[in-house]
This record gives sequence, structure tokens and C-alpha cells, in this order.
Amino acid sequence: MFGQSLRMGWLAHALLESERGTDARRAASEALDLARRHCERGHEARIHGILGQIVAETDPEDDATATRAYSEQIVIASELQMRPLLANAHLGLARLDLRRGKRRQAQEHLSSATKMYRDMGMQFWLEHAEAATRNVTPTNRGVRGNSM
Amino acid sequence: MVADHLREAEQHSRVLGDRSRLGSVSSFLSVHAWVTGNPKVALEYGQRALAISQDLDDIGLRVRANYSLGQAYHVLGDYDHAIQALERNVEELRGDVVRRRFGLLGAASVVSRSWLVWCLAELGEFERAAPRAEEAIRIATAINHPYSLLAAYFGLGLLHLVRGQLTPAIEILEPALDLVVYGIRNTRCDSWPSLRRSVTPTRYRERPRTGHATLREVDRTSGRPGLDVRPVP
Repeated sequence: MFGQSLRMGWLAHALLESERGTDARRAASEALDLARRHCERGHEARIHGILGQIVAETDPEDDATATRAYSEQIVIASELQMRPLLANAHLGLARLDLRRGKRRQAQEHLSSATKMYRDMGMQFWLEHAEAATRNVTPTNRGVRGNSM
Repeated sequence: MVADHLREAEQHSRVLGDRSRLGSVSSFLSVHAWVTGNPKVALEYGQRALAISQDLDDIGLRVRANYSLGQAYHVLGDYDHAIQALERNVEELRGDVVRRRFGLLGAASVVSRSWLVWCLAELGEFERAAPRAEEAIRIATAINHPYSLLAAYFGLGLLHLVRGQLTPAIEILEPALDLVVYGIRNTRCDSWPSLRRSVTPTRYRERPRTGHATLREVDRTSGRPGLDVRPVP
């Protein structure tokens, strides 16, 4: 059915917000499968981002899966010119890099995200990107629980 | 089952050489393929319906075909082509035909704009999307048709959501949800009485932040500090 992948993806995000990480990850995987099966490319891009966030927040050890999800989101969002999702993917990768202490890479992703958010007038997300950028500077090391 | 009947009708139309019916059936097959998750098939039928509509200069078929094409391209992630198809409807549906449904669930001018808004939002073209979303709400409000109103609210709500504007998104989507609930209880869209008076974003401006209040309650019961609302990434 049309859009079932997207609905499942939103459910996954709601489950994450309800602190049901395992259910959220399962729902996101199912959503991804549905999107691929039905050639729903835009929805697939969005679901990669949701999966990336779920893994990043619930399974910090599994950096590889979160990175892969955001990277997939970048590939598809770039191809489809989905600029809001593209910016979100850069922000997601920046947060992962910050956690791993990869400040230079994080800064690059944040620069991309910040510019796109500013260009599109996405104030809410711009503030998030700017907050993350403040964590890149050495004087703020350790702020917000980032494991540098 | 539905598809079987439609394919049979398609066969009869071919045998009879009835282009008008073949176009109409193609349009329905496109919708069926889209709903059942086969957007590439939906695209093929939609293109055929559009070609026939142009041969016959049939505005109803053309509008339905462009709408189906917009939806199929959208789900495939081909937003440029979706925008082109839906903008054709926006251009065509002016004046006397602005309120007509042409067999769709809502006014074609409104539902086409709502999908157009969604496509533009996905591309980050918010400034182009916003006027279309407002137009959809103005038209739907003027004709006072519940499904059209729902579609219009959905378009604008989605635009706010993608942009990360949570409060306006909630203020638009909550009355949309009320419309859905009302529609489920009163299954015939035509029987929905003048909902415009009882369910509008204006009403929600009078009791603002209903959604935030709910989320605050969730936060309070979950023991999480403050309001921590995040849109889907």
C-alpha cells in the first residue's frame, strides 16, 4: 500500500521518542524494507535518517550502522535533490563524528548542514546545527556528554 | 478483484476501439497501481491516460491523469516531474473549474496543490510551496468541502513539519485529525455538514498549543525534563 513505509518510519520515530529503542529499530528496518520493495525512494531516504538516529541514540557502540544509514540518506537525498533531508543527514553524521572525537569531519558536516539550513530558512534545525558547532570548539570539550 | 474488473474493462475498451473509456480505465488502473504500491505501473497507466486525454481534449481525464502522474512521480522520488504534472493542474484549474472534483475525492485544484506542496517541501523549496498551500486552504474553505479541507491542511501541515516549524504544524494538523475522525464516524464525505465552522485552524488559535500541552503531559509522566519535541529527521 502506498506510503506504508513512511507511516512505519514515523511509527519508528515515535517509538524512539517513547524510549522503546528495540521496537523502534525493528519498525525502522521494516519501513526500509517496504520502501525498497515499492521503489519509494524519497521515503527510503527519510527512513534511513530515522534508522540512523535510532541506532545512534540507542546503540552507541554500533557506530557503523548509524554511519551507514546516514551515508545512504546522503546518497539518495543528493540524487533526488531533497535538500532538507540532505542537511539532516550531515547533521546526523556530524553528531556521530563528534562522539568519536573526529572534530574536523564533524566540522565539515556541520558547515554543510548549517549553510543548507540557513539557505532554506530552517530555523529550528539551524539552531540544532549551531549548538552542535559550539561543541566542536576545544573550549567546550565534553559539553553535552559527547565522548571526545 | 478491483484490478481484474479494470483489466477486463480495459480489454473491452480496446476491442471496441473506445478511446474515451480506455483513457478512463487507464486512469483508474493508475490509481489502483499507486495505492497498491506499484508506482512504476501507475506511471505507465498515467502516461497513457494523459496521452488519450490530449488526443480527445478531455479536461476531466487530463486532470485525473496529471494528478495520478504527480502521485506516482512523487512516490518514486522524481519530484521535478511530479511538480510539472501537478502544476499543469494548478494552471488548468482556474475560474469556473476551481471547485470541481473531476472524479477525485476532493476538489482537483486543492488536492493537486497539496501534493505539489509536499513535493516542493521535499526539495526545500519552501518559499514556492507556501503560497500554494495557502491557496489550497482558501479554495477548500470557500467551497467548504471536508475532504478538500483535510487535503489542504495536510499540505500546509506537512510543509511546516518538513521545515521544522512544529507549533504551526500542530495547529494545522490537529484540526485535520479532527476531520479524519469525523469522517470515519460519518463515512459519506458528502454528508459532512458545514465543518468549516466547527473545525478550523482558527478555532485552534483560540485554544493554542493543544499538541504541546499533550506533549508536555507526556514529558511529565515520562519524567523527562522540559519540552523535548523533535521533528522526524
